Amino acid sequence: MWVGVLVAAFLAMLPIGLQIWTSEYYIYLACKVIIWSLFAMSFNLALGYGGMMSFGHAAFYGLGAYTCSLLLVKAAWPMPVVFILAPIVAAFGGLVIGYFSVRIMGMFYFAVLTLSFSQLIYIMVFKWRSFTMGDDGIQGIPVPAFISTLDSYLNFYYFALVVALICIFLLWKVTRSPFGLVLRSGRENPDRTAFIGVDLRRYRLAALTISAFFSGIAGALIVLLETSVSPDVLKWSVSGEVILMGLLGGMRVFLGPIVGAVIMVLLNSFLTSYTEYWAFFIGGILIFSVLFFPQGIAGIVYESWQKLFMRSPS
Amino acid sequence: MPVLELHGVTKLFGGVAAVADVSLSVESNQIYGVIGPNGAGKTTLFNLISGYYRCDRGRIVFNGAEIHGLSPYAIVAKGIGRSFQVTSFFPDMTVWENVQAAVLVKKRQSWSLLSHDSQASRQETEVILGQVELLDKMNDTAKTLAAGDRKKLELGIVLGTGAHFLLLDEPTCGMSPTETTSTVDFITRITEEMKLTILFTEHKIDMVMGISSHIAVMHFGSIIASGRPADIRMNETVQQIYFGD
Repeated sequence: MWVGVLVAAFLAMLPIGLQIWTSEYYIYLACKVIIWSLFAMSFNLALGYGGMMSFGHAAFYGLGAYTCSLLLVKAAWPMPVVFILAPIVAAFGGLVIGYFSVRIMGMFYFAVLTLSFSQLIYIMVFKWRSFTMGDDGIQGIPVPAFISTLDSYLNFYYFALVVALICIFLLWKVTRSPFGLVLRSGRENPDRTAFIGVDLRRYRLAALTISAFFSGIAGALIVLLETSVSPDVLKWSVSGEVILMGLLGGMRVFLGPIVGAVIMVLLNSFLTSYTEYWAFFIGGILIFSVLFFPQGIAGIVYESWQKLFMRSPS
Repeated sequence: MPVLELHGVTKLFGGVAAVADVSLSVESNQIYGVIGPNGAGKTTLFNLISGYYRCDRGRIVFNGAEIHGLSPYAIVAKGIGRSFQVTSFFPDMTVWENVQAAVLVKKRQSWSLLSHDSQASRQETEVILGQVELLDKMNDTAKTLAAGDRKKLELGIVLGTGAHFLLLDEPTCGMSPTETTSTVDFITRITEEMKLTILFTEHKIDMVMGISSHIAVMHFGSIIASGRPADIRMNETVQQIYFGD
């Protein structure tokens, strides 16, 4: 309980501290960390809990981002409506892609199929210039005053933080629910799960749809932060990055992906200011982590904590 | 009144009949043993009954309704549970979660996404863990259990599905004589207590003779003899195959 209060206080004070001692840029970076954390957490419902190696999560992130952008720019709909519609469109994408993908058993084929679908959407957005502006992207997306980032990222930070916390809380509820338990059973042992009377495809489809929904929220948030969007949000490398966050942070610990997101976003930002080969370092760290601590950083911390405090008499 | 009936069930793998024209019928509350050497088609037979494979020919009737052609999960819903030769459970979940997952599915509560597990499911899980003697280990991670306890856990999962008809594929596979004896006692006891019907395979012949009320002998995919344990023991063909004289 007191840990929660402490974390909440820290998260609330963080941008103020950043504003005093550093620059606005770091608040912007903190916003990015929040958004990627939400994205990585949503993704982990599919991989960590559902055992579905999706290599196409950029599709859901991008669908959220483009729905948000297009509705704000072309239709000029009010932001709250748009912000609800964006994840719904993303979830619908998850439903359609999932409908075809969950039939497939085996991680490799699942990854290839989801990757193909996301590339399909990427190409569509890239080529459909009249509707999506193609690779020019969309700039100057109107953002309501209360989260405007013109003067300061402070308001947006709190907005993103509250949205992400609500989403992560809901994800936590799902993983703890009976549904979450059966979903994990499917990851552990699909055959056994079928023989307790479960049509696993339906559970996986539901999990992928929920995962896509929250990824769509992350996509909408990034648009409101950047006030612009380009087909890059749909690139396969975005799907790759979110997988790496899960691996690095640890996908078997609920908050693991957040650890991965923090490290990746910060490393990305700092390394790019020193070298253009930042991806080289990220790659190195990942190889190291997969070889020596496949359970991820959060996984290691969790295990050592268990060893220290929960030593069972045996 | 038979609970399970097989009529001319056949399964071909590339032209070879792994199960050839098998007919049998299992009465309620029976412990029915299927014996036979390795490769006789026992496991294939179980995979056919439980819906893992589709029959190429024949009919499978359970409680008066045809079940061949149904998916495994639909067959579980009819009340047939199965265990595997290589004990199958959820290794990284706790013993409690292993059984509760099955209970939640049976109670049709596994689609509640934001709620907690129900009181009723917790009570039932506790009862089952008591029956399979794993209450004291309920918070252990399943993969830390010893072979005998794993088998009990798998039985707990099967009981959690609400099944009263159990298909047990070599329930004492890989166990020491002591473990075998205690597992056999255990199976006999819960069959009695819970009014179960059991169809099981085994190649430890003494064990089968000891607990079965009826035995069928499989050889090259066919049933070559069937009857009470005493009859089987006297059967000449069976003696030739099994005892080698």
